[in-house]
Formats: sequence, structure tokens, C-alpha cells
Amino acid sequence: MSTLPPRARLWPEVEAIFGRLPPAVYPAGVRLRHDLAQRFSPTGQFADWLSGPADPPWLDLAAWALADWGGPVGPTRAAVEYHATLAVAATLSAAGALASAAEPETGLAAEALPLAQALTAAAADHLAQLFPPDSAFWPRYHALTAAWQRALTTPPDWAAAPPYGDLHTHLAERGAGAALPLLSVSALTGRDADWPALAAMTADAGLAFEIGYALQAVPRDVRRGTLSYPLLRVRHAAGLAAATPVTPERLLGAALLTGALTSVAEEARARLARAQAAARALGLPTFAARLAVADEQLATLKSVWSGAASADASGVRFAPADGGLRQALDMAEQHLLADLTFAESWEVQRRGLFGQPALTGRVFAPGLILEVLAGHGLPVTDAVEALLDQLAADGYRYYPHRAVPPDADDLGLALRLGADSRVSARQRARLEEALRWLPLNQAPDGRLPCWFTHGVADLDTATPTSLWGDQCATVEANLLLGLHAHATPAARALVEAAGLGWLARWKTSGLGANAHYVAAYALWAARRLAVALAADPFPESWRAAAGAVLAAVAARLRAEAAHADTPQTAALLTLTCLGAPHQPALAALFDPQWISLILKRQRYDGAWPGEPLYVVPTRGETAGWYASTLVTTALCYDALRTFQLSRRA
Amino acid sequence: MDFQTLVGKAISDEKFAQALVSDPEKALKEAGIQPTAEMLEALRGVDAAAIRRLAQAFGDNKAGTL
Repeated sequence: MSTLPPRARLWPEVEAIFGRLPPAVYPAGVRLRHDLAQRFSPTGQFADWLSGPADPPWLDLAAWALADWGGPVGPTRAAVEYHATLAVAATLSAAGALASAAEPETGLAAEALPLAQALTAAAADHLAQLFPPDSAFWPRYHALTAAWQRALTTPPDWAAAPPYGDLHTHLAERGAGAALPLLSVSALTGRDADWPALAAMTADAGLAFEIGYALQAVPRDVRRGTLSYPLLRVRHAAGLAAATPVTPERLLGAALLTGALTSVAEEARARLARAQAAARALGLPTFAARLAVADEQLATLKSVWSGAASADASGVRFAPADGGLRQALDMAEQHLLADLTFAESWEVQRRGLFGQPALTGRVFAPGLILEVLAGHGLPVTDAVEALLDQLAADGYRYYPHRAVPPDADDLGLALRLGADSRVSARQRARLEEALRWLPLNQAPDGRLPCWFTHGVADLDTATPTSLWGDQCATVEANLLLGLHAHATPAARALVEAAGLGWLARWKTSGLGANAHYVAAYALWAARRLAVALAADPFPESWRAAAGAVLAAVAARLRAEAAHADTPQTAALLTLTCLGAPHQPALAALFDPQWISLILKRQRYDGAWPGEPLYVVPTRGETAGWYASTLVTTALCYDALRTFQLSRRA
Repeated sequence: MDFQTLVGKAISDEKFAQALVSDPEKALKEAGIQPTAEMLEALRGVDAAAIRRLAQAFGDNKAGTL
């Protein structure tokens, strides 16, 4: 016989429940385990799920009841402990899946229901090992299951008024699965008659734990603007209706000054006291002792929210406010800064060309990454200087070969990087020199091409070279954004010659004017340029055209959002909606699930898997897509930072 | 700014909370809030040290920021 506590002894079997899930819901099961561990484990490990002092001890309750009640002995007791505990774990996981669906960071929304069904089926399989089909257990079990499933798939009635009876019932039913341990063990130990009292006891305790969690989540819910029972009580105490718009600061201040949260904590403590008394009366001293520990937690929460001088909040585990955003950003930042040559981003960009075994396009992709890092104030100025030197040495070419003309994307990137005030004046002077090509390559209507073939002294025109797509509104936008950032008279004249034509083409053709980039990136570039051209120093008469482009971007973004199913796409759409300066119409289209998707797909090393970004030729002149882990990671990092900044605004 | 918002700002901004404990009038002015006699009187009725501890406890989970 093992001397391990039942929980430790049975934990591998709990893990195995997830391992045996149907393939279609298995990945969602993995994510659910992470979510449960992050939200309800004091150590962040799934093995410690529901083991902290503020957590309800439902996973241990079957074993405690068997020990306290002196249930069946020998193999029968081991079987009861085994099947009852695993059924409870599966049931609480199923309830957790439904509850997680409402959490924006979990990303379980679509998979929550089938996952909950699979876990509920697993629970029923274990219970079927203990109870015959005609047992009186089953109607009670089905009633419990129906209660928590209904409560977790129905929003609470936030129009509730004192004394909040229906709301209490709803909150208690969300945790109705908690009654399963005692329902099972009481039925198997001849305590059927005690069931009503046991059910009332677990309902009291369950509601107290629910309220405790909600009190711990007050800072998070205030920040998110979501309602909870404690916050409803704060609003009512402050004379605010549930739907009245209010700033987070006002609500937090009201939480402290109205005393509503101390009343809520006291209410939960009263329920715990009732449950404790019932536990003692029903012969469950272990559970009663555990409820005393939970009461200490509630007393601390009450003290904290009372603003008392003696309050010590150090022992309170407030719910994470950001769903792991800060950690994800730190990991991504470390990954990007680990190698400032960004080797992976250009190692993938080798091509046999012009009789040479390999040419490497080693500046453009690293430049995109540096632009993101520099834009968020990270110390990469030396790397930017080195890259600008290399871009100039290569003649602003994607591949460093004289038969390849300089291109608008590389020059635009250099201009944007060079506009950073931390970059030396030497770079800006050299970039000004490069502008001399542009008037020679600009079309009579002001349009700027992708390739600069006129006026380039070192261009090898004798070697046959096929140049794809000389007209692309996204590449042109990248150059115009660079010229706008460079902001010298020559640069401004070029934008003034090209800007209105670019707006007209985008308004007429939309994404049809884009040739080289994925759609979501093209929307982001169009958004940035249209916003820039709608402001000073450009003519006021351009503003209507820029507004029309932004409206077209918004219309197309709605369509793209329907299949925003990869992190990079979600990142680019986030940047389009939330990038600075604030655009209310685009910000209104932002979907928080994009952030959830980005967070969920981050790899163990802080990166995201590479996704296609722009078209590149491959061997045999067929088209392929540039994709690298580092560029995708930079875009995801940019989106998460932008989201973070938008929340602070 | 009403008093509830002022206290909420202190809870969600540890630096502001500390400044409010040290010198309420100066902290309010630096935050762009003109301190009124009523506000200062009301602040005297609040345990500012407790607010500062609450702001510390929220740590990275401050309301209004991430």
C-alpha cells in the first residue's frame, strides 16, 4: 500500500484523463490544463491545481470523507477513492472548460463545449464503475450536472438587486460539480439520508469560494471592465447602475471607500461558518478544518479591502491582470535580443543567382525586426547603425549584386530607421544622397516604382534580370512612410508628388493595388500611410481621400478578420486597429481574441513559428513566400506591445 | 477629479500612492489636481499607508495598466 497522500498517488491518473481525450479536443485539453494551472494553482503547476489556501479542496474531499467516515475497507475503498476522485477531477475540468470560454486570454471559446462534453463523459465512465444503472445516485448526479452546465453557459443577471438571491443561486450553481465527491461517497457509505444537508453544506462552501475568487479578481475585472458580483455590489453602494460607464480608477476608489467589498467578504465568511458547522455535525472534521484555513484567507481579503492600517495584502494571490501578457512580452523580447545579427531571418533568404551558388538577402528582414525593437525603445542603436551601413554598402538592394536594382522597400526601410533621433547624422546625410534616384524613376503621375533602374551608377544592366511586380501600393507605401519620416524638403517634395495618386489608387483598387505582401500587412501599411497623409504638412484637400482609404481599410479588415487564424495575421490586424495615432473607427474593429490567439501560440522559447509575409522568387523563378521565425516574432511582439499601450491610454 | 477617482488612482499607481503618503498637497498638484480643502480633509480620513500597501500588493496587476 502506498504511503503517498491520495492526491499525489492518483495524480498520474488525473493527467491520464487528458491524455485519453479524443484527438479532436486533445489540443484544447492541453490548453485547459495550462489555464487551470495558471489560474487555480498556487505553484502554477497542474499537479497543484486547487491546493492553495484560497482554493476549494474538492479534489481531496472524497478521500477525506472516506477517512473521516470510515467507509468501506480494502479493495472496495481503494476503488471508491480512485473512481470518485477521478470523476471529480474530470467534472471540475469540464466546468473549468466552460468557465474558461468566457476568459478572453484562454482561446478556448469554440472548443470549450466539445471539450467539456468529453470530460463529462470521462467522469461518467468512472462513476459507472461505482454505481449500477438503476442506482438512486444517477438522478441526483444528472441534476447536479445540469445545474453547473446551465449556470456556466448562461450569463448572470447583472440587473439583480438586493438581496441578490437569484444571483447567489446562479453563482452557487456554477460550482455545483463540487458536490460530486460527497454525493458519491455518501451513497456508497450508507449516508443517503444526509444528502440534503451535505448538498446545502457544499453549496454554502462553494459560494464562499466563488466570492473569494471574485474578490481576488477585483483589480483584474476593474481593468478589463467586466462585472462580477463584488463589483456589482460596489456599483450599487456608489449609486452606479451595472451599465453606467465608469473609469477603472473611480471603481477602485469606490471599492475601497464604500466598504462594499468588506460586506461581500463578510457575507462569504458567514457562509463558510455555516458550512463549517455543518461539516462538524456531519462527521467531516478534516473538511471543517480546511474551511477554517479558507476563512483566514477571506478575513485577509476583507481587511485588505477595508483599507485598514493593519491590512497585510502580501498573502493574497490577486488574479493575474494580463493573462500572461507581460511574461509573453519578456520572453519575446529576450528571444529577439538574443542575436542582434538576426541570423535566422536571413539564413532563410539564400538564393542561387547570377551564376553564384548563393546570394543572401541579409539586410531587409533584420531591418524590419530592428524597426520594431527601436520603435519600442530597446537599445539597438548600434545594430541599426551597422545595418544602415550595410544597406548603403549594398546600394539599398535586397540581394547584394549589381544586376539587382535598388528597391523601394529597402530604401524605405533605411529611411524609417534613419529617422530615429538616436541614429547618427552621418546616416541621414547618406540617405539624402540616395534620394537622388527617385525623381529619375518617378512616373509622371508621381507614382514610385518598386525597382530603381534609372540613374543608378553601379547597376549592371548587361546581366539579364527578371524583375517582378514593379508596381505595388504596399511597397510604395513603405517608401512613402520612409520619406515622410526622413522629413527633408527633398523627401517632402517626393511625397507631395506621389501621395494623392497613391490615395486615389488605394481608394479605387483597395488590396488589388498590393502585389508583394500578404493582405493583413498591406492593410497595416495602408493605414499608416493614409493616417500620415491626412495630417500636416500635407494639403487639407487630401483628407477626404485619406478618409476614404481608411474606410476601405476598415471594410477589408472586417473580411480579413473572418480568417484571422494565425498569430501573424492576428498581430497585423491588431496593429492596423490599435496602432498610433488612435483611429476610433479601426479601434472599434479590434477583437481581443486576436491577443488570445497570439499568446496561445507562443513557443516555449518566446518565439512564434514563421509565417509568410511577402513574395520572393525561389529556384527556377517560381514564386515562394518569405517566412521567418524572427520576423513573425517581431510582428507578434509589436502587436502585443501596441495592445499594452492602447490599454494604458 | 472626484475623491473616489483620486483614491482609485492611488491604488493603481504605486508612485502616486507613495507621494500621497509623503505630501498629499504636493502629490495632488504634481498629478495636475488642484487640492481643495475638502479633498485634503477627506484624505486625512483615509489610511494612506494602507492604500500604498494595496498599490504595492497589486504590483503588476494594476488597474488601468498592464
